[in-house]
Amino acid sequence: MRAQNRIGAYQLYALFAVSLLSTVFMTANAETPEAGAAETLLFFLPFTGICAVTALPLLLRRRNKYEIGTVAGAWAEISPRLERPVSAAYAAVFLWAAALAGARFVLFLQSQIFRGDGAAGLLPLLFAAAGFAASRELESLGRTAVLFGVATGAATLLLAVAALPDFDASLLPPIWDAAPASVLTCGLEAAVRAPEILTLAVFAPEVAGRIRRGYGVWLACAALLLPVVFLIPAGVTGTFGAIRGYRFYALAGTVKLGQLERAEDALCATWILCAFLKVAFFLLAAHRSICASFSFKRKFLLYYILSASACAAAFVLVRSPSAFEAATGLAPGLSLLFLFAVALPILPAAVKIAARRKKWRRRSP
Amino acid sequence: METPRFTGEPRRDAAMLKKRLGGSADVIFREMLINGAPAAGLYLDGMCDEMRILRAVTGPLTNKNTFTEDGRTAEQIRLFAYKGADMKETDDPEEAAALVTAGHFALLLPGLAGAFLFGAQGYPRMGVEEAKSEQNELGGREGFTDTLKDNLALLRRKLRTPDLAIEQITVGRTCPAAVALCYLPKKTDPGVLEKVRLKLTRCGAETALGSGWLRPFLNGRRPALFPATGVTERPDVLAYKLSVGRIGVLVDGSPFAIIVPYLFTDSFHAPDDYATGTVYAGFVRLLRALCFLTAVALPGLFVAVCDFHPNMLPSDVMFKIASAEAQTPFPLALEAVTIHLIYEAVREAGLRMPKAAGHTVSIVGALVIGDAAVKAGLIAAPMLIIVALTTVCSAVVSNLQDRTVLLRLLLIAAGSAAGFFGVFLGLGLIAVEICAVSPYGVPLSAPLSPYEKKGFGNGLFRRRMQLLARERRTLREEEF
Repeated sequence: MRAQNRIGAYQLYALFAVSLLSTVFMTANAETPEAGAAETLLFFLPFTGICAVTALPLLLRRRNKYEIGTVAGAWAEISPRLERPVSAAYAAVFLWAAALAGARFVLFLQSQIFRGDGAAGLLPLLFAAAGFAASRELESLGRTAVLFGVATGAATLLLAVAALPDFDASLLPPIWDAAPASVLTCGLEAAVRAPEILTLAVFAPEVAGRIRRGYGVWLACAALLLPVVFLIPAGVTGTFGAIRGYRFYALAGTVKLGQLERAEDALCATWILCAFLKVAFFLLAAHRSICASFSFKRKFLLYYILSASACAAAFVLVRSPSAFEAATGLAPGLSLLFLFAVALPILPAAVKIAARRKKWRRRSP
Repeated sequence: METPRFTGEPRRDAAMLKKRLGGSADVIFREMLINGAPAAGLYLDGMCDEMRILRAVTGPLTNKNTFTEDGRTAEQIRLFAYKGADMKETDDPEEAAALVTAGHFALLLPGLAGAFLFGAQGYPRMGVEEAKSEQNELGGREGFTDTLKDNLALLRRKLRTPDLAIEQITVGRTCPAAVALCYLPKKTDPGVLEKVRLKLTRCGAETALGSGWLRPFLNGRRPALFPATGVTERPDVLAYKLSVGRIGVLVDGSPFAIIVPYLFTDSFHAPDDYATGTVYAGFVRLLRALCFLTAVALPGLFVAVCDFHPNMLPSDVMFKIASAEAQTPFPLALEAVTIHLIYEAVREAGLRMPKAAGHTVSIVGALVIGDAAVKAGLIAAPMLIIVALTTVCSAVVSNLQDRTVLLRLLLIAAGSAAGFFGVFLGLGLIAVEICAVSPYGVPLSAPLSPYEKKGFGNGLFRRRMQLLARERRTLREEEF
C-alpha cells in the first residue's frame, strides 16, 4: 500500500511543468539578449547539467537527500545549531519565490489587461486561494497539476493552431540561426529567474511510481512542445527575440477564435491556474520547512501567516517595479538557485564524506 | 445499578422486558401453555404479523403433538419443534429488547434463563417502486425500498452469485438501525473494506435514521465539498458497482445505498449508458460533464465577460447585452445572485409543498420572474436566459446539484471581483478540492488524475462491452 502524501512521478513533473509554464508565459522578453545568446547558452548548459546530474540520481534512487527537512537535518548532524537557521532560510526563500510568482502575474495583468493598479486587488484573492490549496497537501497539488498541465497545454496548442493561418514560413529564415539558441536561452532564463527548479529537487523524496518513464515523458513533451510554442510566434510576428513585452500574450492578441473578437483574455486566464498552483506549491514548501524544525501545531494559522506574508511582499514588489526587476534579475536568481538547490543540500554530505575518509585514514595502518 | 437478567420465570421475565421497553402501551403480553408448562410471549403491536405468529410460532408450539417428551422443551424447540429460519436465542435482555423493537416475537419459557426470538415482522412498509431519483429509459425499473430485508433481496436478485457477502451490524446509540455491508470478497480491496468496517463500527452516531445520517462518517474526517461516497437508489446500479470492486452500505429505513469508494466521474454515469451504443453513451457522458461545467461556471463567466472583458464578444452581441443591462437598476453580479436565489427558493418550495400547491408556486415563479420582472425592467432578459440554461444543465447531473448551487454562487462572486481570472481561480480551487479527496486510498479524481488507463476509457467515456467483459476491472488502493 502506498504511503499517504506521496505523489507519482507524473504528478511531480506536472507540477514542475506548471511552475515553468507560469514563469515562461508571464516573463517579459524585453531584455532577452539576442546578441550573445550563444555565450549565454554556453553558460547555462553546464549549469543545467549540474542541476540535472544532482537531481536525477536522487529521483532514481529515491534518496532522501533533498527534502527540506532533511537538508536541515543533515546540517543538524554537523552542528545542531544549524538546523533551524537552514529551515528558516528555506522557508524564507520559498515565501520570497511565492511573492515573486504572485507579483509577476499581477504585473503582467497590470501592464497588459487591466492597464492600471486595479490588478493589485487580485493579490489577496490569489494568495488566499493558494494558501487554502496548499493546506490540501502535496498529493492533491500534484494531481491538480496534471489537470492544469493538460488544460494549459491544450489552451497553448489551441493558440498555436489558431495562429497557424497567420504563420509565414518565409519570416523564419532570417532568425533561424539565432532561434535554437534563443529558444533554449529564453526557456532556461525563465526557469532560472525564479527558483522554480527547486521544486524538482525539494520534493524528490516524495515521489513514488515510474520515475524513469515519467522523466522520459516529461522530456519528450518538452522537446515536442517547445519548438511549436517558440517558433509559431516567430513565424507570425517575424521578430523572434526582439518583441518587447510578453511574447505569448502578443501572439494571443493576433488570434481570432471563431466568433470571439479577442481571445487573449480567455487564453491568459488559463495561465492563472499555473500561477495559482505555483504559489500554492511554494507556500506548502515554506510550511513544511517550518514544520520540519519548529514545533508549530496550528496548521491553518501558519498557512494564514505565510499567505499573508507572501501577499504583503508581493504587494511591495508590485508597487515598486524597480524592486521587482532587481529581485528577478539573473544574478539573484542564479545565486539563490546555486545556494539552495545545489550548495546547501550537497555541502553536509560532502562534509560527512570528508569526515568519514579522515576517520578511515586514521584507522588504516 | 444492577443489570437485569433473565430468571427463568416467564411472567417475571416478561415484566422485566416490558419495563426495559419503557412500559409502552403497545407491548402485547400473552400467556400460553407449551408442553404443559406456562410460558409467556411478548411482542410490539403493529410491528409483528399476528397471523404469522399464530401460524408459525404459537400454533405449533401450543400443539401437544409437537413435543415428543415431557420437559426439555427448550431443547426440543432448538432441535425439532420450530423449523422457522429466523429464530434466535439470547440470554441478554438488551439484545432481546432490541430484537423485539425490530419486530421479533419473544418467547419466555419456564426454567430458561433467556428468550427465544422469532422473526415475525409485519409492520407497514412500502412496496418496491420505480427509482424516483434515477430515472432511466431502457434499463430495469426497480428501486430500493425503506426496508433492509427487501433491499437485500432486491440486490440478491440482481447479483445472483454465491460470492456476494453481506455483513450486518447495528449502528446508532439512541436510534439504532441495522446496516448491511455488501461486497464481493474476490473483487474488493481488503484494505478499503476494513476501513469502511472500522468507520461504521466506530462512528459513534447517535441516530441512524437513514443512509444520509451515516454518509458523513464514511466521507472522512475533513469536511469536503465533494464527498468520497456516492448513493444510488437502484439495485442494478449497486450490483454493477459491487461487481467492479466497490462496497455497498444499505441502511434500514432508507432506499438509498451508499457506494464506497466513489469517483468523481461516476457522477456522470447513468444506467442507460449500458443499454445504448458505445459511441452515443460516450457522447452523453461527455455532455453531462460539459453540462456540469456549464452549470457551475456559466453565470460567473457571463458576469466576467460583461464586467471585465466586453471586447471578447462580437460587437453586435455585446451591444444587445449592454442595451438590455442598461435598463436594469442593479449591478450584474447582484442581479445574477438574486435570480439564482429566487430560483432556489422556488425550487425548494416546489419540492416541499404539497403537490397541488407546488404547481401553483412554479407558475407564480415563472410568471413573476420570467415575465413581470423583465417587463418591469428589474432583470435583463440575457441574464434570465443564462439562468435558464444553467438550471437545465444542473438538472442533467442531478446528483451534483447541491454542490453546483454553491459553486455557482462562488464563481459569480469571483467573476465579479476579478473577471476571467477570478473565475479560473475559483475553478482551480474546485479542482484542488476534488483532487484532495481520498479517504480510502482511491482518489476521487481518478482515473483522470492520477491517470489510470483502463478506468479512463470507462470514466468520461464508455468502453465497448466486449472490452469491459474482458477487463475484470476492480479498484485497488495500491493502484493509485
